[in-house]
Amino acid sequence: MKQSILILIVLALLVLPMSIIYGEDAGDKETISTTTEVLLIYDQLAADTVYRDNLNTVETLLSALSRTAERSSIDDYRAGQMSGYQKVIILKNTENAINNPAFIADCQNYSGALLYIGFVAPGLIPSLDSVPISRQMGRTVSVNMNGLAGNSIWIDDLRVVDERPGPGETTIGVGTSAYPFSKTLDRLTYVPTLISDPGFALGLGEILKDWFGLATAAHMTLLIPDIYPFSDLNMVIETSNAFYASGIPFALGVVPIDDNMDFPAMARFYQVLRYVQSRNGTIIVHRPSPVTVSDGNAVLSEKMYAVITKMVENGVYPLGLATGESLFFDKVSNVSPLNLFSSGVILPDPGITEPGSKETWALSSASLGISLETIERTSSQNRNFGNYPINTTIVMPLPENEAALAAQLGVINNKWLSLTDYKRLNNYWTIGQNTITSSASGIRVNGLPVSLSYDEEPIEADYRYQKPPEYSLEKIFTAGNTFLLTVVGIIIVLFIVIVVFSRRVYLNKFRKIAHNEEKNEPVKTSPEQEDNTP
Amino acid sequence: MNVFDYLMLINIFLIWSLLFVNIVLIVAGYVYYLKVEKEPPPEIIGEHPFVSIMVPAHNEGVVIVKTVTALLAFDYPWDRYEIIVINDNSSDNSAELLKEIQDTNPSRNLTVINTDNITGGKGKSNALNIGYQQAKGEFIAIYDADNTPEHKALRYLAAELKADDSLGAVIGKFRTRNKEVNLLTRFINIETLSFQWMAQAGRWQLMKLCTIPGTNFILRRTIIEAIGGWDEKAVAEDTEISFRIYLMGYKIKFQPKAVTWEQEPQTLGVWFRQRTRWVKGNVYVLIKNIGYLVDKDAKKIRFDIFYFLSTYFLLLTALVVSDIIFFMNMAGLVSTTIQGFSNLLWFTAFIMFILGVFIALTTEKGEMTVSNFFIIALMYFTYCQMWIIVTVYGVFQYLKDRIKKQDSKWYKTERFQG
Amino acid sequence: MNRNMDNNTLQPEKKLNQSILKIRAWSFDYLLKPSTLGVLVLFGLLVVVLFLPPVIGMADDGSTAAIILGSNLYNLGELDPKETQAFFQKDWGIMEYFNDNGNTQITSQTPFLNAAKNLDIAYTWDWLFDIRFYGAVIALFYLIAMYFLFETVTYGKRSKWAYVIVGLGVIIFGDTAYSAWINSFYPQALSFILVIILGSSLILMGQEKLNDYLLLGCFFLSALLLCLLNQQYALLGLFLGILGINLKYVDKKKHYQRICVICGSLLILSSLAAFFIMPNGLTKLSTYHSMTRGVLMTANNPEQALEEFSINPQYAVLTGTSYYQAISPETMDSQEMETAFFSKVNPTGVAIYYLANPGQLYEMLNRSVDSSFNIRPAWLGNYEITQGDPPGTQTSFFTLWSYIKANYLPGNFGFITIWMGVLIGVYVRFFRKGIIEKNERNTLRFVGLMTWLFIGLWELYVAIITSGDTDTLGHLFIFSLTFDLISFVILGKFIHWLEKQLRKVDWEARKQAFKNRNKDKKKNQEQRGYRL
Repeated sequence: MKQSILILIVLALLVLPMSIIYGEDAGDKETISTTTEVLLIYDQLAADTVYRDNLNTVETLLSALSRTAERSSIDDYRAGQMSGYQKVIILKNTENAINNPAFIADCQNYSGALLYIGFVAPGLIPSLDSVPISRQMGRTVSVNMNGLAGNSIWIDDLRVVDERPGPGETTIGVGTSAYPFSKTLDRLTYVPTLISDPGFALGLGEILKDWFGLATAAHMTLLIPDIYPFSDLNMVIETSNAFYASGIPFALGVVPIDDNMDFPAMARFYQVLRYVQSRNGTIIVHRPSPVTVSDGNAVLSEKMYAVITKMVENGVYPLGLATGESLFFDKVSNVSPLNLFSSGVILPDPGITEPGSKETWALSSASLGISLETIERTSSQNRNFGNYPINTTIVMPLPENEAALAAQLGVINNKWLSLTDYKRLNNYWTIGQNTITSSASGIRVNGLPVSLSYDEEPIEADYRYQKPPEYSLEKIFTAGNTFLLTVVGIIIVLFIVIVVFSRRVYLNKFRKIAHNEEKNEPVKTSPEQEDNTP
Repeated sequence: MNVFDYLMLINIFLIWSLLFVNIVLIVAGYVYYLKVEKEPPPEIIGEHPFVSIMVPAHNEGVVIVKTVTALLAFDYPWDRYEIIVINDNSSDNSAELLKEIQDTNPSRNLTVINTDNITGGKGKSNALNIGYQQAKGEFIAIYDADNTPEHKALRYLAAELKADDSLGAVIGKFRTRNKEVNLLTRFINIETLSFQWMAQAGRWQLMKLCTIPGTNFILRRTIIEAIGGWDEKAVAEDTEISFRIYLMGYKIKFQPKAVTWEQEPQTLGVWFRQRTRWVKGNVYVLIKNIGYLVDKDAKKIRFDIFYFLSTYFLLLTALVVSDIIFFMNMAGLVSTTIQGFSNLLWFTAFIMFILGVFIALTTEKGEMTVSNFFIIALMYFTYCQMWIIVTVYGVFQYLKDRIKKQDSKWYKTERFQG
Repeated sequence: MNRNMDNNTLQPEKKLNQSILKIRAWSFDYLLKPSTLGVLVLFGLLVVVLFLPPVIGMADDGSTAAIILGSNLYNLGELDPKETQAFFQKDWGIMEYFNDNGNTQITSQTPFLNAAKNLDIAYTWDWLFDIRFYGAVIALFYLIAMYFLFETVTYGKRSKWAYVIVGLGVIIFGDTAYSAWINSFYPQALSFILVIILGSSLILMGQEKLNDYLLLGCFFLSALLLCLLNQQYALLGLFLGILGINLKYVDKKKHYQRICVICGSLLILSSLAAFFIMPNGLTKLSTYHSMTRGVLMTANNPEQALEEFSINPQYAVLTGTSYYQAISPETMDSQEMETAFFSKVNPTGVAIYYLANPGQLYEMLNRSVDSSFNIRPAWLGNYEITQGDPPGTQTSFFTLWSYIKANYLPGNFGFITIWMGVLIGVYVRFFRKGIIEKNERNTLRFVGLMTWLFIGLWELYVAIITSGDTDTLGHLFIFSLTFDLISFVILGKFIHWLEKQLRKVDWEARKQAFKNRNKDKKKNQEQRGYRL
């Protein structure tokens, strides 16, 4: 009896973690919601102010948290829109008055979760008016969270909640004082100041994460973006080696190029990518620049299929997508198959403030791209850097030379970052015939595990770039050619002999005539003459 | 393989076979040269046969005096040959000049027949017929009005013809008098040399068949009688006569020791017209006698006809067609897919051609030079291409005349002082 | 009284009749001369095409921005980037305030632009520049150039065939594919005019029509303007200058010779100056194409070709790509590509490469000839956006010649070589005769045509070197133009010769002979002899 119970317990213990893992899988596989979750309303883009990128920041954060949103400006707001959403974000970039009575009315009646960012509009939201706000002009501030102190920046117009921050809260440090980054009142969360600084963005990220009730732990990964087949592949190899030696997992962002994929240059590129994979590097594809995709998603999908099929054929397994925010504003049907990636990195996309569509879609799991400088300028209270509240990816451009590599490596090491291996996260996608999944146990292609080890020869450049035109009767002509060459060769030799010989005859004859008078004597010729007649 | 591919195949085959045929002829010609060099020059055994020399002339005032003087200076018994000059419908002072010569040489057999545009003016053949009526000799020799034959030319020719009854005619060699004038005359010089040694000597050596070159030749009177005179319709009356002689069963021999010097065209225009005339005339003769190609009894001339046919029609057609296809290929209108031969082969063929021609040149004094070697190379690209144009134009002229039923005019080659 | 009145009333009538007769005679002499008639027809055509709605022009792709800034004009930005190449913009802005944009460029186009701008300001007192004013200025010179051209082919005569030739000229050069460029800021329209005047003045000097000094002036002026148009044309000025100096052999007059030498040397100097001073005019895109759609595309081994330029051989993956097909504009502008790729490619290097690889050059020449026969680049639209046409529509009004050219003429270099051979073969006789007879004037006809040929081939080569087979800089236009010009002049000469031959024929006699041909047949058959 005791034995069987023990066995049962052991079995349960064995099974449980698996189910947890599975559970995590299931949990992570959050379906891409077809209904948008959040309504994002903003007053103006404020293109002339420091708040011009606020909308962009909010949208990017939402995508980084895999949330979908619908966006509307206050002027375009229609009555009753808010009631369709359980969460609403209001972004007020300016102090201008609101001219939409429907909006004001709905605001005051809204019963769902409300996140308010920016300038307060008096009377708009009753509970907001009671929050004490201190307005300070011209301060150096830094955002602190989780023991990480962001870089100090100068803000002209700073508004802060004039209260003491609670323990563990994200704070805004102004000189020696600290204020809370946000204030939550019942269903209202208020963020007084937002600018497009990484510290503020991450702070807002944390707010959003809590606001959405997302519990998953955040991870930090490292990405080297924009690698082309003609990038400095030697540096790629060296960087891979250096990172591997330091135990740093990283990802390599490859720009898909579907031209000339059979060339040796491309084959060499794949070889380098395989090497990178063997050095704990993960391959991620960039979204192709819309300019390189002429029109329509048919061309995009053809391009991606071609590129990725070729990659998989060559043992390169892309596990994620690196893209700018604007991708999520395109209709899903237009961006297929990019939406089939389960995970991605959202890179800063300065171009968009008002992209076309008003609704977004989202990847299952995403992370916010931040620069290496941000990391550098962030100081940690602990020896270990710690974690940011949301998934982040450090975007580090390929070092130009070994000195730069050493410097960057130094930064990473000195910060004691805890970086996650991208491929150990759960990624999956299916494109065309190939399904790739990755997890802590490794990468599987169509269910079969693949090896990432590398041992190869360098590629020969013995490639036929242009097919030589086919000729008919090739054999006859080549044979005939050789035959005739020999015949002509013999004849030429013969002729040369005759010419040499005839020179003698010529000299004999004409010297004789020059010396002699017009004699009719036969010319004495040498006896070899006879043998030269063919 | 499209139609152009087949055309190209045929062309390549034709060009190469004819190339080899000519190589064989060159070698045969050189062999004959060596043979002739060894032999003593022909001697007349017995009585000197009486030779009537006929010189048809039309507005030849510039050169006729020199020619007749040379004829008068032949190393041959003066009473055993006569000179008949047919001054055919000349509008210049030829008549006076000839009269003057006659007056200065009263004791010589020098007859001048002046015709006008009624009795004459109908071409060289007609002039020869007129002269023939007054000729007394058992041998007839013809010289063009611009020729200056060498001393012993007549002697050698007559000796050869007398010595061998199977010969119907004997032809001599002609050289270019004005070969130093310009590049064109140098080309012509090389052409005449190589042609003679190759076509005449080679063919004599291999087949005992030569073609009368229109000047510096001697033939039996009996032959003229048998065929009833020269064909007045034929512009190339020399080729025509050659065929007749073959058909009668005679041979024509080449005696290179009998040399005459003639003046060749010095400008391109004159050259072009002269050669077009030749082509036209030869095409006429060819067409006229083409039936013999399949005639069993005409074995002898079958090769000759075939050779002419191949040279004028096949070879040049092949060259023209391949040139056209080349241009069309360049213009992208046509594409050929056959491999063809390598550039190396064509280059070696080119070298072979140059060497072959050079061998012919070694037979003459002062011609075996390095500069001639390069001139031959240059000829290949310029002169030979011009020949293609001449042939095309000549055939075209022939057809035009045929269609219009026009009389072929006797266009005279312009003379230059020299 | 009545008689007086009669006299008075009669006199004016008589005078009126006489004046009418005089006017008719004068107009017959001048207006109905084929050349003038042709010009008048073209004038009407241009008015309809360029000035009346729907207004036709060429869409602007932004490459002329610097030049128009030099005249204080700017793009109003009414169209967004994707639309600018698809639609023609009629309205532009004149800068009200000080032009502080450092990116201005002064070329020989500037005086024309300024003239047009002043016209616009005088006519409409606003700060809007209607491009039709510029079009009008250019069209004026266009008509003058066409007059010159017609004069060269008609020899001023008034025969039937002269009208035919001029008619052909109107069809060829009045083709909207050419005239659409007039309503645009591209240098193409101006180069069109200048090249025509250049060659025509030489030919006219050879034909001894019009005043020598006038023609000399036209030649040198147009050569100067041409070489100051653009950095690529500047080198051409060098050759034209040398030609100009050699013109001194044409006439014995000291004055004439001095002018030739002085102007020729000035031309050489200014073209050298222009070459070094003028900004490059090459865009990154055209440099990119010169490699990917040029050197690499035709090479047997692109990696090897890249190594000859000391470029990372991995760039071979870009072989054959054009525009932003493979890489985004950001990447193309990146520092990395600048150091690794663009800094190692320059026109001289590419030129030398092609000279060392003639097989590749030949293939490129074939492609370029083919694309040059489409006189308008396919991606630039002709209509205004207000017309509502789909983007990039090109007009097909009066485009017979460009249609034939694009679709029926063999577009490869082999054809051009044969055509060149024919041209030189036909004309070199005059050249030789002229030199032999020491009548250098006679050689000018040939020289004029050769100038056009040289300019055309030079531009063809420059197009290949600077932008592969995509011609992003519009050089192939000149080649297409000179091809048309030379063919036109030769055609004119051929028609003239044909007319002369036909005039010699006695048509009546031939008709009679044809009718009587059967009568002689029997007679001929009876005659004996060697007749065929």
